[in-house]
Amino acid sequence: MNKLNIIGVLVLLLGTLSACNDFLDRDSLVGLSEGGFWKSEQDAIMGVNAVYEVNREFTNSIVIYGMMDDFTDISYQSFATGLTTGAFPANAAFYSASWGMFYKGIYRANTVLKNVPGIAMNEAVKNRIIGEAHFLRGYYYFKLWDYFGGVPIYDKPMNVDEAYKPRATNGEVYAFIVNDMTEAYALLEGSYSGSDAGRATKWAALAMRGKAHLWAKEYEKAAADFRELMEKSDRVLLDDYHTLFRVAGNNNSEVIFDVQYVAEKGYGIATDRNYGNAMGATSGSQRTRPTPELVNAYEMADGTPFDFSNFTNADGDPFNPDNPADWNDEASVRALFANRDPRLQQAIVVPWSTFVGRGGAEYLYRFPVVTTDPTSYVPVWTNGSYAWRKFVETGSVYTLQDNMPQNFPLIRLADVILMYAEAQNEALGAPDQSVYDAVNAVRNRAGMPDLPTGLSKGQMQERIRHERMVELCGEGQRYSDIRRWGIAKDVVDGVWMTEFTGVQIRQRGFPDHYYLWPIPQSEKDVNPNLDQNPGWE
Amino acid sequence: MYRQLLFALSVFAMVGNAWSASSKTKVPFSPGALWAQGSAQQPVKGVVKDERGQVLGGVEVRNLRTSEVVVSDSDGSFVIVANPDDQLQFRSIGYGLVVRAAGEAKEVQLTVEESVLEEVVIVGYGSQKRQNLTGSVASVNFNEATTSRPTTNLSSALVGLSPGLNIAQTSATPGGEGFNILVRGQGTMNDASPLVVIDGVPGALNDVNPSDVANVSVLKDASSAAIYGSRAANGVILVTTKRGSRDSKYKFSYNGYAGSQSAANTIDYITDMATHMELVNESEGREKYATDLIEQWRTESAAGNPLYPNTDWYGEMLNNSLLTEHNVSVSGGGQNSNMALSLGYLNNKGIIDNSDYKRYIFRLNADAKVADFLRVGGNVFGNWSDRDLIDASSFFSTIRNTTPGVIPQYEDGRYGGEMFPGLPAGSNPMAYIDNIRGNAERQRLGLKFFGIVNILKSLEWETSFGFNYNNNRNWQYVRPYSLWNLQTDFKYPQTPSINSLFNSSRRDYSTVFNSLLRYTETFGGAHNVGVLVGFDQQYNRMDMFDAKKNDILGDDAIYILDAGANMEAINGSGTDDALQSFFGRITYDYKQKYLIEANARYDGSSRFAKENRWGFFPSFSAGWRLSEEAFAQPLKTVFDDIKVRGSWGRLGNNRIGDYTYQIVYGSYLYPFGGQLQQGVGPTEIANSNIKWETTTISNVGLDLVLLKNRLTVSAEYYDKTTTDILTKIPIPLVMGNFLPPWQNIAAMRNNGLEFQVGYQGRAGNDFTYFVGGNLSTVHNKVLEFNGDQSISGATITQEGNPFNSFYMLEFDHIIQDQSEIDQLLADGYTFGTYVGGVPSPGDMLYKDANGDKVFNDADRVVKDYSSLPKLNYGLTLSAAYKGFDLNVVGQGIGGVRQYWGNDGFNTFNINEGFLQRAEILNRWTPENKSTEYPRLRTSGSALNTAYSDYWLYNTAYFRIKSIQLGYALPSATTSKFKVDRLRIYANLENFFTFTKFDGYNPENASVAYPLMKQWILGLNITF
Repeated sequence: MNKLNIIGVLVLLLGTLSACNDFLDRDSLVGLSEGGFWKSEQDAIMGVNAVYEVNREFTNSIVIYGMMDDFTDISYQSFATGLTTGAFPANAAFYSASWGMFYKGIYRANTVLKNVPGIAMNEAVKNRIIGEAHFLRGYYYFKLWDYFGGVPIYDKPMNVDEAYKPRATNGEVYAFIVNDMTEAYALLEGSYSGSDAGRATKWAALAMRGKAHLWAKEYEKAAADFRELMEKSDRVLLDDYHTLFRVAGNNNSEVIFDVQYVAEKGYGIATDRNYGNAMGATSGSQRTRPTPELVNAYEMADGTPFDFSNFTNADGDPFNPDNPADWNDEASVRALFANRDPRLQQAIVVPWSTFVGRGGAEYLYRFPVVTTDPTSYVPVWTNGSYAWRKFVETGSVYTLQDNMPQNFPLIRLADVILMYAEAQNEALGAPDQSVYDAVNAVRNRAGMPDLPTGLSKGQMQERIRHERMVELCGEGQRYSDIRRWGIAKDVVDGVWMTEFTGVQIRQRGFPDHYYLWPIPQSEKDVNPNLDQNPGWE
Repeated sequence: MYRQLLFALSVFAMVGNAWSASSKTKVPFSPGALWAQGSAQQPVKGVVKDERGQVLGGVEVRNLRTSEVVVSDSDGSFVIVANPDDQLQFRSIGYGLVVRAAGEAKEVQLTVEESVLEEVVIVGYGSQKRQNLTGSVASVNFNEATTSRPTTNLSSALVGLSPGLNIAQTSATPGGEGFNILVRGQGTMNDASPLVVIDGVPGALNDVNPSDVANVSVLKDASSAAIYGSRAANGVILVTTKRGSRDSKYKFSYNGYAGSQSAANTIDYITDMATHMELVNESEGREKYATDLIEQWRTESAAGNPLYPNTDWYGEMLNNSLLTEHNVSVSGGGQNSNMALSLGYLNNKGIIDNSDYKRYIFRLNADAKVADFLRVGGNVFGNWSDRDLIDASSFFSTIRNTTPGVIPQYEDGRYGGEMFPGLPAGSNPMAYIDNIRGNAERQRLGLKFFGIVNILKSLEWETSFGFNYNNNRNWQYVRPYSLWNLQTDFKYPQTPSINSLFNSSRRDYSTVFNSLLRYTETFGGAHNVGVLVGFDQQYNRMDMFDAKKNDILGDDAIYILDAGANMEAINGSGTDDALQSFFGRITYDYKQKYLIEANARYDGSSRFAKENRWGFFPSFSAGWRLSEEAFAQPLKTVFDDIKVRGSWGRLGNNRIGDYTYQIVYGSYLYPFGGQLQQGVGPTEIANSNIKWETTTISNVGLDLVLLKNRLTVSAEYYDKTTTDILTKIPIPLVMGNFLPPWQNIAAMRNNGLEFQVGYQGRAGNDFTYFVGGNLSTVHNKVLEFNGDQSISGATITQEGNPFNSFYMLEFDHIIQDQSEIDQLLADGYTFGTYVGGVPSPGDMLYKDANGDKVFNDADRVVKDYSSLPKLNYGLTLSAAYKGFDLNVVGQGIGGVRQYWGNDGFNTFNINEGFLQRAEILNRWTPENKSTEYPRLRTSGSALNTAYSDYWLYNTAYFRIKSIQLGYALPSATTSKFKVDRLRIYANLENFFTFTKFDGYNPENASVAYPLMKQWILGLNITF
């Protein structure tokens, strides 16, 4: 071997290996760099899609939106959380996660509103996208306003040093939401077809504007918005109440705005697990359960109130719901649930009703619970609990436990009609015919008779509140309703969660400061300009 | 096939004595001498060792009467023909001369004379004599006792052996052990683990079989580490593996052990179900469990009714298990080439079912001198391992979520659940473990090729190419199971609802190319100059892919995805990074009296934007060997060497993720009309201005060698300041709930002292011993934090305090009477929601630290401690007497606290369905007014659960890591079996820990795979 040859070869090798110039330029292997985005119509569409995604993330990771009702008197959760017992501190992750997620939606909407106007693209599509961004931003601000009160307002994607604003007032946030919804109403279309189903419509914007007015107690403005929607939109009540809450009811004629889902991991909703039960295709855990208070609130089919004292037990004595023995007699228990508001059986599984579970098989809810009979319905909570039928897919064929393709309604026409009735009733000295017509429309759809005539304003208010409770149960509306009506402490605080047999489970708490959520402790730690809500100091 | 072959080899090694005939020791002798003597001459056999009882090869043994010379073998043995009265002289470089009568030469000990100073220390891209070192380098030589311990990985083997190196074991998952390794404290708020370089190629400590290791060097100061530039800020650990020695006969050696292991520490839980129920009733304030039910349970379980269990879950689920390891190696070399080959097998069954780990590991290091001016060589190494996939945290959460009233498995095979109608099924750890199957398979291969050309006598050029390849394939099959209320034959719904299969695969590779020139020359017999310049280029790449399906065909651990019907998820990801560098070193000394050294590296990294891509990292150091001065000669009677040294330099840290300077948009899909559609939004706020973190280290040291090389003392002071620390200070969530962007805004200082002492002594001819100790202190302080603070749970980071100092309420006392509360309220005190509102007797009262008469989060105070120890120390002890040797390694930390509370394992706020710590039996009750423990509350309560120093524990500890007692059979005996050396030993590992902390492991207060203690018996054979 020759020394010079060897050295020559090695020098050549060294030269080859170190010759690459761009060796140190490495772009992310998984992401898209910002510089290349916001160039085309496709980019604009994908950009606004991500704003919707936050709504799905909120509904999936905080608590299914409908389970907000677990913090009220109509449903409850099987294990204690501070929200049900009134013991949550200001640093509970529940509050900070919710706060952060709504602001994430707002940030993304602001990114769209900043970048999309400059993109050369079809004007109609551009207007729609800008309208969607206004709607979603306003929607997220509405949620923040509802839960936290006045919050800081950011209307563009800000730098970190601009993110330390103090809270805006209630009135400022209200005005901002109204403004966003007005913009959205002007830009958005009335309906979409096919693969655009689920996008915000002008009716969704109008409904949200009306809602903002209602929350602000601007009753005339609210009634006007709801009336316009009822008169002009293509939305109509669906005949079958139960179908509203099944996969088959996705994109029905009544829905105004919802969260859309498909049966794919990460993109479905966990209703089957949380509302569902052992008989469902994926064996739900019945984390949320309707309370006896709710079940007892359903009227008789003729519109009279339900009362246990009108019923007897096996011995012929008046039925005592707090006596477990009375519940052991099939005939007298069946009688309790016959001839009731049809929505009771369509929303809730009660003893001696049937449930079409996995594989299309029909199961009978025997009580006391029988576990040995394969045709018997077995709730997860065997002591004496009602179970949701609402949002639990009947005869389910879907096997991804947390990923049902069931769209979750956020605004539907029945809700708007009842809000109209409420706003109109509040605005007048006594209810006019339009108030009766509205409430009766919702009742008649379910098969219930008209309200009696001649109700005072106060009596009508009670009727509307009752109607909202049973019509919208399990949809999360009541948690906001009882707080804006100021009755939350009365109906929740100190009340025991019980089985229908009267067995006490846990005592609820709703201290005075629970009407608003606290500004999250972690956010206050970072931004001292934020004042805390009363009672959370 | 491959695995079977390896296994066969290791089994063969165990019974391998039969092999030894072919490699029988030849007796070297001088031919003329044998015949000239009378019949009194006998072959005298013996063995040569050093003071630590380690065998010494290459020692010249001369019969002073006959002038015959033999050389001891690498196992220290020699055979020489001599009369019993003949004087034998033993000589070896670096050791003192010993003359001994042949009749007393069975075992001869040589004492180090010059070795401390002549010892060669591995440094970055080269080596230096210890006497010439001016930087701070701790060197750990691996000997027979070190490599025979049941440490199973290199990180554990290094614990306690080096000053300034703190290794905390955070998890003992077999094959997935977790360690937190820090050199001189936590130098940054980011990944502060040191760079690990194995034979010149970056790697991971635990990829090296400890028994292949010759030496580990820890580069601690800027002078020694600057040559690694942008990756060296947190220290560098250099691992050098064994190579065959040239001109030595090939040796076959085996070392292996087998033994038993169990949890090093356990905690007592209440295992009596009746008591458990009473405590739940007490916490809930009502009869959750009826009194007659509790009495029934008590009666029936006392009568032995299996349907009323009192299950001790820890006893049930944590096993004693087998640990065994076998290593065989062949090494040696001829005139022009040499090699070392090793094969290893490890089987660690762990102490939790389904957490087995098996590893097959190999290494081949070979060198050849192919021409006078050219040497080439290569390393080939790798391993194949299989690990069962038990996730310790899920496992422990199933233990937490069960009660003593659950039957693990009934006699008919059914799994038990809670036995109370209307309550949840609870969890059953045994059912959980039995129904998860899986395997993590890992294949790793490393290659390194190098060539060294001697261009001139004093100039050599070394070029090398290294390649690391890592392939991981995991599968996990989860099978649904049902729990039963066995009292009522009620079957709970099965969980999960459907079976599922997860597959993942991940591939990593990295390439390293480097080329360097070394020049050394002496001018005028006094001026020694050394120059090194080099170029280095590296690329790392990772790709991963995983998928999950459910509704799997069959039920018996099918692990291929095609067996599944429904797709649940598919994910894929990848990252890469690149580094290019130029570096150099100049050393100069005058008569080895005045020493000067300069190092520098110029690094370019793909992790930073073009404008900030290149960084320069210089260092300077100097040393003065006082003992070489003429005026110091009188000191020579005591001091063999006195050296003072100092260094200063700058290092960088680039460990901040691969693409953090780029604003990246990610995918957020949303379904419209039943079809998933692409959504795109920003995933992280970026900061394109980020640059290196810069660490500046100043170091002064004093090295002493005294008492005829028997005592070495080394002391140093260091000051390590890191500026431009990249950190993510919390930003308001209104920013869109992003993770905060990286910013170069913080600065932090670590300073401290390090001491190392070693003493080699002897008593009589046969007893020798070595005592060594090291101690280091770290004082950490955040210098800059943007004037801000970051609070995370129970810790805070802010200027003027140590990083992640504890920040919490201060516990005052347990309230004993209502009158005290009434008085507080009357005095105008209020209780905020943070502390859970107004307390009752038995609850904790915190200090109103800010004096505002409100008990709330504003009363949190910064404590003087963090979870990083202020003090680390290690102790080694070895002794040898005739064939016996004893080796002890101890290690400890001090000045440290950890937060352990309210994680469900350690709390007084209990609910049904959770295990309860035995300590709560001492709780406050109206009858037993404890001043130490609060009353019971439910977990929904914020009372007694706020972050407070009640839950802050002193986690200082001293642990005897290892005690090893060995006995080597006399070579006279073993040679009959053609064996050069046969040593048997017993080892206790992690057996004795002294600490006040009563949690699982003071190294990691949170729940992880428990640290295990082992006792083993082992064998070393060489022939």
